[in-house]
Amino acid sequence: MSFFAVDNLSINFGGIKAVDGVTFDVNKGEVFTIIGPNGAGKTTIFNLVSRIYQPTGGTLVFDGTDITNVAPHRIAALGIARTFQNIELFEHATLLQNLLLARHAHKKSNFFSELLFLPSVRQMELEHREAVEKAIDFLDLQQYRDSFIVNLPYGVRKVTELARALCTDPKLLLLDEPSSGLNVEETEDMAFWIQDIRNLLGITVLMVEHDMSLVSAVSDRVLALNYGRPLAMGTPAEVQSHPEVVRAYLGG
Amino acid sequence: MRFQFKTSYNQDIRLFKDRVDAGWYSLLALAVVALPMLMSDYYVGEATWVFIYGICGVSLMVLVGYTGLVSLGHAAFLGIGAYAHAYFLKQGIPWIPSVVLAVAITTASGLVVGLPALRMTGIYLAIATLAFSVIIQEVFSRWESVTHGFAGMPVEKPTILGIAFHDEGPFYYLCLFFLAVVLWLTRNLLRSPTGRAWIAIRDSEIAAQSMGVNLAIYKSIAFAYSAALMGLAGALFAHKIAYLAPDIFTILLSIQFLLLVIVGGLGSLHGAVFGAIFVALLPPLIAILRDSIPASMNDAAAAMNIKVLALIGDGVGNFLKKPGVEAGIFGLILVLVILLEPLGMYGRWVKIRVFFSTFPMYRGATFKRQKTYMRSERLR
Repeated sequence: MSFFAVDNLSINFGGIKAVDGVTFDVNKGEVFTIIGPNGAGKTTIFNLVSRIYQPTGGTLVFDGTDITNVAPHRIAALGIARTFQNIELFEHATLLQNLLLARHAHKKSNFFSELLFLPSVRQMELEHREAVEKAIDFLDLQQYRDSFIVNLPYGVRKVTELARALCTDPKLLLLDEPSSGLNVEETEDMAFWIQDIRNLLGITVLMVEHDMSLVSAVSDRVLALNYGRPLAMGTPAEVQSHPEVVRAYLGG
Repeated sequence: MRFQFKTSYNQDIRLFKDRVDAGWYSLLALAVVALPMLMSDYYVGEATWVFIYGICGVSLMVLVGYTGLVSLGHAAFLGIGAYAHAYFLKQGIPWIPSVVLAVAITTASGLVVGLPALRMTGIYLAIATLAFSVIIQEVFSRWESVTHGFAGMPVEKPTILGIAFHDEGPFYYLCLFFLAVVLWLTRNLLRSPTGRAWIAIRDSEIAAQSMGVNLAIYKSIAFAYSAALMGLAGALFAHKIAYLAPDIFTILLSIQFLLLVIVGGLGSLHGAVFGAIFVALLPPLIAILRDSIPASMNDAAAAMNIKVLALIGDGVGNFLKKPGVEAGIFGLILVLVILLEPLGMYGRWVKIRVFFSTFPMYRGATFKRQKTYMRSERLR
C-alpha cells in the first residue's frame, strides 16, 4: 500500500472545478512534483491535503490513516508539514520563536503548568530547543537565530519556512514553490537541501514547482495538471516531452 | 558595548537576560518598594493607579498585542470584576474567596464573549465587543438588587486574613504585589507554547493552523485569560475608587485601555507598564500644571517685571481648566505616537537603549525598517 494516496480528489468553488478527479500515489522516500500552468489547481491540492479546504469528493489516505475529515490543526501531529507559496511566517517574532512554534504539535504541557512554568515545562522547552537547533544547523541559519523575520531578506525567509516545516518532525513535507523569488544560486542550494531532506532525513517530499531545472534535478516522479485535471504522470523527462503537456504550456 | 556569550539554552528561557539585566530590575523593584516611604499619600495613591492600570494593560496586551484580537469592551470585564467583588464582600464572604469568585465570573464572561471571536476578526470583533460592553453597562444600571443601579454601591476598604489594607501605603503594596504576580504569570505563558501560539495566531492564522495550533482553543484561552486579569484589576479598582456606579465602565474607559496598549507599545509587556504610567499619571500631571503654570509665570513676571508672561501663564492655566482638554491631549498624543512611533513608548525605549549600548556606533538608519505595523493595528 502506498505511503500517501490521493483518490479521485475534487473540489468546486461555485461552478469552477478547481480540482477535478485527481488521483496519484506518493511512495515513501520519493520526491513527487506537481507541475502545471497558473490556475491548474496545484496549490488547491496542497490546501486540500493540509485540510484548509474541504474536498467535495474523493479521499486522502496518509500512512494508512484516512485524513479526509481530520481537523486542520491535527495534520501536523500526524506528520504532514507544509510551506506556503507567499511566505506565511510569523513576522513580528524572532526566527527562533518561529521554529519553536513548529514544535507545537509535540507539546505535552497544559495551560496551568505553563502559567507557573513548572520544571517539566522548562525541560520540555529545552528538548524543543534541541530539535530546533538541529534544523538551524541543517539549513545554516545560525546567524539569524535572534533576528525578527520582518528584518530578514526574502531568500532567508524562504529557508526559514523550510526550517519551520522540518521542525514539526514531518514524514511528508509539502513544498509550495520552494524556488519562487529565489535567484539561481539560491535555487541550486534549495535543490541540494531537498535532496538532503530526502536522503539524509528520510522525509518524503510532495512539491509544487515551476522551475523545470529544479524539478528535473530532484524529482523522482512528476504529475502534470491543467484545469484541475491530470494530464500526464511519469519521470521528469517523460512528462516534459508528453504532447498534452507541451500543448498545455505552449498552446496549439 | 556589551556582548552576551551564550553557553546554554537556558539563557534564552530565563526571566532576565543576564546579571546586569537582573541588577537593573532589582534596582527598579527597590525604588518602587521605597516610594511610599519617600512620597506623600497623594502621590502614593496616584502610583497605585499605575499598578491597577498596569494589570488592565497586561490584560489587553495579551489580547490585542499578542493574539491580535481587538476588544472595545474591556471596561465591561473590569466592571464585572468590580461589581462581583463588591457584591461578594457585602455578602460577608472573606476577601480572598471573593476575589477568586469575581475572577472566575469574569473569566466565564470572557469565554462567552470569546465565542464570536472564533469567527470574527478586526473591525467586526471590535463592534461585537463594543455591543457586549453596552449591554453589560445596561445590566449594571438595571440590576438594582445586586448593583444598586445609579444609586451607586459603596465598597469597603480591604481586610485580608485580618490584616487591614486601609491606608494608601499598604494598599499600594497590595496592588504592586498583584501586578508583579500578573507580570510573572504572563511572562511564563509567553515563553511557553501558549504564548507562541498567540503570537502565531496574530501573525498568520493559516500557518499557525498548519503547525498544529487549534485556533478556537487558543483564541478562547486568550479571551478568558485577558478577562480574568481584568476581573482581578476590577476587584482592586473597586477598592481604589470606593464607590461603584454604572457610568464609570463606559466605552470611554475601554478606549482608554486601548490607548494604553498602543501608546505603551503593542506586543511587549514593558509596553503595558509604560502605557499604564502614561494613562495613570497624565491627568494628575495636567492638574498640577493647571495650578503651577499660572503661579510660576506670575512669579517670573513680578521678578522680571514683564506683564506678558503673567498673561501667558493665566492663558495656559485657563486653557487647561477647559472641559475636554484632557481627552484632547490624550487624542493628540495617540495620533502622534501612531504617526511617529508605531511601536509606542517601548519602541522608543529600545532605541534609546540601543543608542547607549552601541555608543558611538549608533546610526540613524538602524531602525528604519522597523516602522511596520502589527497586524492587529491594520485590522486585517
